[in-house]
Amino acid sequence: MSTSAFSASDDVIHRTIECHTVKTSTDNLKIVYEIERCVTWIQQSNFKKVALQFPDVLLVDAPSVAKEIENCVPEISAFILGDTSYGSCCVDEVGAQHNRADCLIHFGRACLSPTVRLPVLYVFGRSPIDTNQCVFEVKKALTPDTKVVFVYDTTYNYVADDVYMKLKSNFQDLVFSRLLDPSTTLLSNYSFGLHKVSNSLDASSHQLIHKSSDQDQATVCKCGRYISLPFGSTLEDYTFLFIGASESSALVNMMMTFNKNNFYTYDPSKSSCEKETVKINKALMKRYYLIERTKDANIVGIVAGTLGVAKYKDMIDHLKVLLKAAGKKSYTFVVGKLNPAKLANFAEVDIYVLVACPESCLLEQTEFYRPVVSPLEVEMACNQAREWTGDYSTDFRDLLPGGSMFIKASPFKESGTTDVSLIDNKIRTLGVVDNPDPGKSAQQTVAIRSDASVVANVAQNAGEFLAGRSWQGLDRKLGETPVVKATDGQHGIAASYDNEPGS
Amino acid sequence: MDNKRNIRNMSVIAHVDHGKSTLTDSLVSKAGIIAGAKAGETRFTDTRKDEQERCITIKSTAISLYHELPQEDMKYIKQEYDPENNYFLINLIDSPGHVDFSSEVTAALRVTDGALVVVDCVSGVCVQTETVLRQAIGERIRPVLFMNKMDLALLTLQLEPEDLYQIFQRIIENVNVIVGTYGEEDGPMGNIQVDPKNGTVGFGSGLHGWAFTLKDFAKMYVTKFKVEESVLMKRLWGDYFFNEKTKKWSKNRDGDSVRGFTNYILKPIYSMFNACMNKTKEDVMFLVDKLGVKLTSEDKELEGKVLLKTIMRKWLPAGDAMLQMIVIHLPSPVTAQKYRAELLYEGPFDDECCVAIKECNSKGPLMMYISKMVPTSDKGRFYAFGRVFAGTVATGQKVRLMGPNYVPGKKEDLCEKSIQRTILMMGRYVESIEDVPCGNICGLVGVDQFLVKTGTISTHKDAHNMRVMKFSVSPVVRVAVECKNPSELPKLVEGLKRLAKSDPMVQCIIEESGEHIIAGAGELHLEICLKDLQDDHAGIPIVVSEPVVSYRETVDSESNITCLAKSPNKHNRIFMKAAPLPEGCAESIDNGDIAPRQDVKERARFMVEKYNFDATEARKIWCFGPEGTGPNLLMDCTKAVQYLNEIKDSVVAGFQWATKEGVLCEENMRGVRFNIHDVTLHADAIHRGGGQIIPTARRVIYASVLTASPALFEPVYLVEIQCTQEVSGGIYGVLNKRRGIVFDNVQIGNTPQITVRAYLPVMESFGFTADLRSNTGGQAFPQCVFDHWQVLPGDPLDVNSKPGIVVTQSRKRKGLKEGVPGLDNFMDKL
Repeated sequence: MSTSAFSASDDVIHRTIECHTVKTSTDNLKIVYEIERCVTWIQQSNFKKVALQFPDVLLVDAPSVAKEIENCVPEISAFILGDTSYGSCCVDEVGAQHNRADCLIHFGRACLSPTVRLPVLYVFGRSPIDTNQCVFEVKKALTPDTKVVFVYDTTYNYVADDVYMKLKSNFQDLVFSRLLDPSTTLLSNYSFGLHKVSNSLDASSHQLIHKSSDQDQATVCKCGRYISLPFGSTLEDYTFLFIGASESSALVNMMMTFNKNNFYTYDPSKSSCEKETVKINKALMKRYYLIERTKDANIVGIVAGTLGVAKYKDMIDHLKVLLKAAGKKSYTFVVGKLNPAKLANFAEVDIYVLVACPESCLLEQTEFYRPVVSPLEVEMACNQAREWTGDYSTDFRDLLPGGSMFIKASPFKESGTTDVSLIDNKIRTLGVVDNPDPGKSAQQTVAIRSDASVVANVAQNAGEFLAGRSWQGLDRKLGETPVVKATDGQHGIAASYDNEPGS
Repeated sequence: MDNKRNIRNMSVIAHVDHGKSTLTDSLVSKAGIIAGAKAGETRFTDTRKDEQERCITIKSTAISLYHELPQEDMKYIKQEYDPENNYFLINLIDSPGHVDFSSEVTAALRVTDGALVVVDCVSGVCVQTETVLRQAIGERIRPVLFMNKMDLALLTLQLEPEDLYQIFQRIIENVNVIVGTYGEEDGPMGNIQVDPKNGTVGFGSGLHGWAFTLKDFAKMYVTKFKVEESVLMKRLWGDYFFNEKTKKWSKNRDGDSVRGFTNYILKPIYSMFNACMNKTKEDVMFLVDKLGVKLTSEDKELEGKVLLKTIMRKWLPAGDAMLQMIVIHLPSPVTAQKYRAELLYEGPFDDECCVAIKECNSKGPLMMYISKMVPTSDKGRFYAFGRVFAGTVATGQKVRLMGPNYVPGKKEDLCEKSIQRTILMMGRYVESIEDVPCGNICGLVGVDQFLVKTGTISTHKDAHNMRVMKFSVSPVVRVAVECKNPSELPKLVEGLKRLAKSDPMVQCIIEESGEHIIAGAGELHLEICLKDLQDDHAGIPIVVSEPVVSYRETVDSESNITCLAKSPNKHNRIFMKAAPLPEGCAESIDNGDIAPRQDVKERARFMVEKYNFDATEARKIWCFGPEGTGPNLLMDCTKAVQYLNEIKDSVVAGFQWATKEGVLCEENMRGVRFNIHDVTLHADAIHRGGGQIIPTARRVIYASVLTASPALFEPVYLVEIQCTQEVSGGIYGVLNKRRGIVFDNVQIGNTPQITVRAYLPVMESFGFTADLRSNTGGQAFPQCVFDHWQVLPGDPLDVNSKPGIVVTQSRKRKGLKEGVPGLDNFMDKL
């Protein structure tokens, strides 16, 4: 089950966090954490206060790394941050700003979502891999005439070139993907999605991409990766080869985005190369179900799942406008890390939309009282101009003006669009409708309620929902209770009061 | 059309293959829409290509006919009538006979006031005859009977007149037994038993296009016997015998006397058959002249069966006999709505709308019931087809469209829209019309998208709904459909929406797993739906899964321990036990004897008396579920718990969730009561909010199910098979192999035919028809109707048992984790 929202302080301290941490030896430290690169970066830009962000698994090394950096650049002060409340792949800008840091170095796996507030340097770390074994297994699994796009998890960045060179001789058509590292390019310099290689790109960091003015050479830039295809070929013809753990969220993310392609995974921990059998069609059908659910919803909760990813505010505003146009009521929530207990507190909300980084916006749904969808699904449901083509994007920035999938919302017809929902087989209307007034509005009438039993009701907004509840507040029982003197109440925090038994 | 007293709305109902559509042709030909000679072959009301090919009616089809009743026959009309006007408008609906499409029959019955029950005189009253007749009577629809396929009895079976009379007699008795069982003897409709003496039974052959009632023959013999037509009619049926010598009628048979019916009705028909088939042309012509039938010279050239058909059709034209029977004996809207109004209207019986329905007042507020949707030539759009019960519906009129969930005063399921056009349905054609007054059946254009399948249309602000139709079949067979390419999903979903509209019964659902499910009444029904979906509605190739059955999760005994679940913050505890509902209780909830909106005390009394509930507990039902109406109960068995009411909504939400998606394989639950025994709550309201209570309630419900020996319900069909004695061995073999249980096996009269009735699990019914046919040399044809739920024996938690396999398969299909989650996932320790 989920962890509790608030726990007594003892619990937190004694709670064991399950992660296999192996302390890196001092010799390796410099290499694994690329101390040199960090130092150069700091010195170049003349930063004074540096935040170092480590995921839970790498926290054991954090003090040594911090010490090492401070030793190299004595004039700075470095401090250590844990994960954000949303996930370890994102940058905790807010946390860094609390300490007035002027830059941040993010260690470990990253989703490479661009940020705006602080300059960020990504150090991916180095997960162990036997490159020869990898090349051997890949050759076994794929025939040489397969057209392959080579992608990898960020922690294998350090061996990527090596593996690519070794594989290149074996495949006629092997395309390399580069990480789109926001720390090496400037945010203003790239737009998103399918576009021609822009001249403003820093060519030196992408030496493998042919800088070309050839109109036909397309570069796909998605999921924080550049894929530059040779002349005249389309991405649909390619098979993806992914190096990294098969349960990695980067892989899931890419499989959703490139859902027309086959995926092979080489998992270094298992040393085997396998075809991904996760039925992507099934996954898409599930997402389509959620789109239908969104169309059904009257009240939508927008959950901020990031405070770092660029343009998240724009997205929330965009969603609000969109939902309003579709005649739905929206409420915005910031709840930190999501869990079922937190979201179930708002029983009036029919569906939640999570605005988060691409790798954390697809949630495992089963435990949640109401489904949690991604911004694209809300777009699909409420933007009439948008049609489902099977293309999927987990990156909400694609949906904003300027993004690759941006489509301007067309206004709804005056009377809205009415059809039948296949979820509950009821009529639903999208768009703002003047409801036929059944005499008086439901909120103003005093409803006569029987105490009999609660019958499921549908509410257009939270006020109506509350009005429909069977419990309307404490019974006052005026004159029925004896008058007593006020006594001392409870002490401590609500999670466990001092006088509570068993605390 | 404006003359309400001269309207008859009627449906033709019968068992499959008893000849409804063929008979309807005869009526249509009378109205001049199809050539008389073609009647019986065209099947005018089978408008779809596959209906024509398969020779089976799938959709009910409406058609309007005119009939002029001879002035002298007007006196036979026993209801209020217009003596000046002897032109009648007959709105006829031909309905399908196959049990899989009985929802179409239900929709047809709702909009009509009378029913022509067709029975094949060879096979007699069958299961579907009984089902549709029962429904008709439940809807307060007056039946008349027609004995079809006399040609078959005479030509193929070569029955003796007296035997044929006995067969007729027995069928009529059977029909009257059904009428007597389900009808109210002194109900508002009065006596609705059928009796040839009154002219409410017709005889004939739809295929050959001839038919008669006793009235027709009585009229012929009036001069001979010199008695009143109506008196003579009584002599021509039952134990009335005529003695040629004494020229007297008596009630007892003696040596020389002959039964009126056999002698004066069957004998001439028999001799005509005999003459045409076996004797010379001269003999035939002699008879023809004697009967006064006029034949053209071309007709005289004909031979054998064709000649017989032509003569019979001219002598006893089916259209005349039938239409006259319909006009005389079936009620007009004015008559019928008087007693149907209370049954049809949900609101108070004295409000303006109900009064208008009762009076059939075309000046009153509009009340129209839409019973089904008929596809138009414009793809994806439908005519809303229904009956105007009060007021007048007109093109351009602004109306209120109320869905089945509409509650007066609320805005849920309510739309206000204008009617684009009103139309009349004429079989394959439609005709536009300016307005339609009450008592008529018509179609509306432009309102289809605001109604799911059915609904009430009114102009009155405070109108209540017309009662929703109750179907005799349930959608228990399901398939999952997939499109080949995910980019075609919108087309598939759009197609499913259209399919759901076009059929009153089919259910199209998207499940949480993303699967698209189509649920229908049976294999044939699904086959037709899938074909429609692929060819018409979606227009894309689809992949169809193996048919699956929908199951229900239940418990077998009370929880062996009191289950406890703690909230995520550990500060709230719910103690609960699950127990099975008493037998029959779930069914009582299904059919509304026990319902959420009833008066608490009344309901409690009923439950105590009928099902031995504890009197105090029965008053403390928190809710029904799933969907707030399902056959599971959440009961408050606590004593003096603080803040309990405050968490009621949250517990109810958790209960709805858990009963919708049961713990075993996320199927609905059925027949379980959950008793909350104790609750401890945190003193601070913030710590007992929905977030803490909803998941906890769900967990404790799951835990109490797992400790109460969980079980699975499977749906069971009632199967009826008619065949000859010799092949019954094959039937038993097939049924045994498929876990079927035979409970009835009767011979039909003196014939070698037998009727076998059995229970067959739906799970085992796939391919049953084909299997049965191959084992009986193609002789046996089963009719399957969903009958009840039955426990699938075995422990669903044991993966090797039958229910265990079902659970594993369902979980796999839904993409759930393998294996039912263990109790420790849901139960906490104190």
